Amino acid sequence: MKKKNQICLVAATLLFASCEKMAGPGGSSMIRGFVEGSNTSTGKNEKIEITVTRGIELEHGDYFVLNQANGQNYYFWFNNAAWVSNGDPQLTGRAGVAIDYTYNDADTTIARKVEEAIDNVLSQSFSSTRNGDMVFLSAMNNETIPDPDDITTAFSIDVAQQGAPDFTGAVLPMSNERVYLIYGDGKYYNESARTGALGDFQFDNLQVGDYQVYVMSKDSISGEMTHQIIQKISITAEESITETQTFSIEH
Amino acid sequence: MRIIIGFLALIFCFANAHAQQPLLLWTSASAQFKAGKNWDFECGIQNRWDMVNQVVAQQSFSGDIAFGGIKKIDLLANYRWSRFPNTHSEINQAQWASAHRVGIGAEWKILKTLIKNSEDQLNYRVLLQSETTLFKRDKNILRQRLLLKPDLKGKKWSPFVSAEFFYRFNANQYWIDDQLIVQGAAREWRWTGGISYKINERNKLQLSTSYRDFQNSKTDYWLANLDYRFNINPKKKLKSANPTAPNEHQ
Repeated sequence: MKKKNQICLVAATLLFASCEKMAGPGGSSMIRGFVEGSNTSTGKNEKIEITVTRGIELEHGDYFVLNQANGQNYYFWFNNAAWVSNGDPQLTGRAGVAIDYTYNDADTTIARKVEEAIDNVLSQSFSSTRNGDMVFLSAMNNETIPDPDDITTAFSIDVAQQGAPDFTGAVLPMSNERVYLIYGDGKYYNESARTGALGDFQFDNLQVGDYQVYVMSKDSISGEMTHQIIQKISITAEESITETQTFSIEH
Repeated sequence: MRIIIGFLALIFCFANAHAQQPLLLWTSASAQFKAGKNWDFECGIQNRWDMVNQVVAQQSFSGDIAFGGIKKIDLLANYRWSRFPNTHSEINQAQWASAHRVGIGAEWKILKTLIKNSEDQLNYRVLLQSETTLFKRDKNILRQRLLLKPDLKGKKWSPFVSAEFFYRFNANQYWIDDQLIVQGAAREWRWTGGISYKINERNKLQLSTSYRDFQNSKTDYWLANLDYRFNINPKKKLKSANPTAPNEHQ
């Protein structure tokens, strides 16, 4: 009889054990949290393309201008030794750089002389390359630079890419942001919720157990919303509220 | 009057043939045993088949005890273990989820109390049930049922109809700030009509149909129930047993 009682007890235990609650729905506890974020954008470096002419199309004293974000701007003027007068336009507020040339210079020669002159004074701000009669300048930093101009030369100076600085906005509560909940150690989300007007979210009717909560943020390299910010959290009691740490995202 | 009730029960029984809602088939088998003067024991199994989706909706094993030592009032106790398709198999990689339900209650035989030697039955039953289920909130339910079963003298078959009301104490649960609000609400009206057929002293069949009228967002549906009962010691008269089945006999 004793053995039968023991068997019945074990069977009853096994029966009830088969209904043991685990992390997931069907409980009375809640996970809640808050999502804040800032608007970020990656700037661009300015890119300039200069198409030069032949020396015969340049006049003694012709000049073009290039600018920098720090306000230290330059003018590059062409000096023909055949002329005895001073061709320097002597612009105030800019530093002048003379480029010696002759009427016989080919456009490729002019391009080389222009690149060398720019490189001598602006190598800290621009990297330069040259192809034929074109000189390509690429700013070293992401910043806004006033546009260059061909002024009196017949050059074609184009801004192929406008420079813009990196931007990080103010930190604000993120509304309507999707938050994901994973039960236990799963890889895929089981529930999702959107934050309210004040950036808050909650998952309720949860069992005691371990969970993972994550939100997506902008990846600093690709600029896409592929960076996962995840927190592991445990509900330890029924009818309880478990708070996550504040999620800070970029968008 | 009894014939009319029987006819209505028959009509009700086959009404599901024209039902537009989902339809389930419940089949069960149980064994009954009477111990002593007042104690009845019963255990059984039940299968619920979803005829629309062609899948098993639930399978269960139950045990019931009835004690009839208080005049025309039976005290009832019941345990049921059931399993059903696991809708959260991604959590525990299990095909089935299970539930445990216990219940206690009482049944009052109204007509037998008011009319001496009445063979007709008008019974009022109240049951308090608590069920814990994997991946679902625990249920605490109060069931109240009124059963009418006239006795057709000399007939092996007898009709019955019943109406049962379900109230769940923790029907709604939600948080307001830091406070958990739990509210009760009516959950279901279950209307049942059927026929009980006594094959012999040991064996009995019961065919019935029920309409589950849910008071929440769940879809109402019809179900057909086929029940087989085996009486282990037929010489002794049994009290009501298997109180939680949708049909009632005896």
